[in-house]
Amino acid sequence: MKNSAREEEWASWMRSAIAGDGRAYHRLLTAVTPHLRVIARKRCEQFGAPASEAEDVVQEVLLAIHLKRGTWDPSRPLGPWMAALVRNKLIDSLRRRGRQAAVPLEDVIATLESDDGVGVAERMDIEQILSRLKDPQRTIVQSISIEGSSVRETAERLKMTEVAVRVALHRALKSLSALYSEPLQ
Amino acid sequence: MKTENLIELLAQDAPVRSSLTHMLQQASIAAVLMVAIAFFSAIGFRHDIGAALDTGRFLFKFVITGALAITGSLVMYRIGKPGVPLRWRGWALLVPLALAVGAAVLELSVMPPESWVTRMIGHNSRLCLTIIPTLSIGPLACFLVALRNGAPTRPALAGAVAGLAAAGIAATFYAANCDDDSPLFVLLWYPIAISAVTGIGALAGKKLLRW
Repeated sequence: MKNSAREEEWASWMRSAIAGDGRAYHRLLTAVTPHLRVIARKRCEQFGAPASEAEDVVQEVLLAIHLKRGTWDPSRPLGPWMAALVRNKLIDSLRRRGRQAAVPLEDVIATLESDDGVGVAERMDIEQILSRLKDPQRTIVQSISIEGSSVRETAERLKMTEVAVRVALHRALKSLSALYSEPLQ
Repeated sequence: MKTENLIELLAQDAPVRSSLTHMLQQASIAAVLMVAIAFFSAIGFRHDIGAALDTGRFLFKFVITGALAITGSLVMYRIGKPGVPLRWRGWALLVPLALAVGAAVLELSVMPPESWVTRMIGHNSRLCLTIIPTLSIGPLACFLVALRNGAPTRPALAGAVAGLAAAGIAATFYAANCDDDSPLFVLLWYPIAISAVTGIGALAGKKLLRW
């Protein structure tokens, strides 16, 4: 986030996103994710959290960026906002995971010996997430994330208005964020 | 869930309906309205308000409580925004206290020592300690609801600041009812009531403003 040209580009994407441009927002989140992944993998070790949870941490941070983007003032630079938000959420997430890091030694050995390494093994698999959501949130999440439908297509299929689908999606994302913050079993 | 799928979901929810600043503005308007309605329907001005308006002591109470409402709000508008430094605004919270202390020192220098204790104890302390916290409940609730959309690094601190701003508004209205105008009274009792609200704000913030 030190690169000012990139920061300016990200900021302009975020401004478009806030105004409702989903494609600009997609570009922004896709551009940010690899950076988050690098930090998350590095920090998991430091906090004693299993490296296999790095991708969950990334997703938790993405959700925080999403749900808290109203705290960014578009007249200010994006970099300091994002850096502060990511750092706070990352520390929060890692502390929670690190504290529960009573990982049995056998598991560590198994992880080391497996070929997957730090794969994209998500603790929160989609089935698990869907099972925790209520309808219509569940159907909407499934339709958009798995089947790749747009809000409009989803609305048509569910015979709902687009506004209602958007509201339900927003609620679903809030529930999702709460699911990630729950203490691990 | 695959991260790409999550991004897909988030991108479909791109527009921001209302910013934190906007919500805090609405909360501030609601807070002032709530206190004003409660004040004028249940409490009202003191009976000698006309004469009181001619005295510096009465008017200076509003300088102190107004300064608290303003500086508390200035900090509150920033504390939920990541990467936005408070700078001088944190120190500005000391302004109302400095004003009260300054006025009290002036009072001590012009008033005979035998009147100090009477002026400090006053006769409205019980009302001061109940009305300010009671009037603060509504504003504090408004501010906490708005701040739930924020991302404060320290939730308890953010709640405490919301408590200060709420108490500042409540105290400004209460000062128009209270007929103890000595800065000695203000410096003794008002801070007790305001601290109680700040403490409640901190406790509530710790629970409600985590994100």
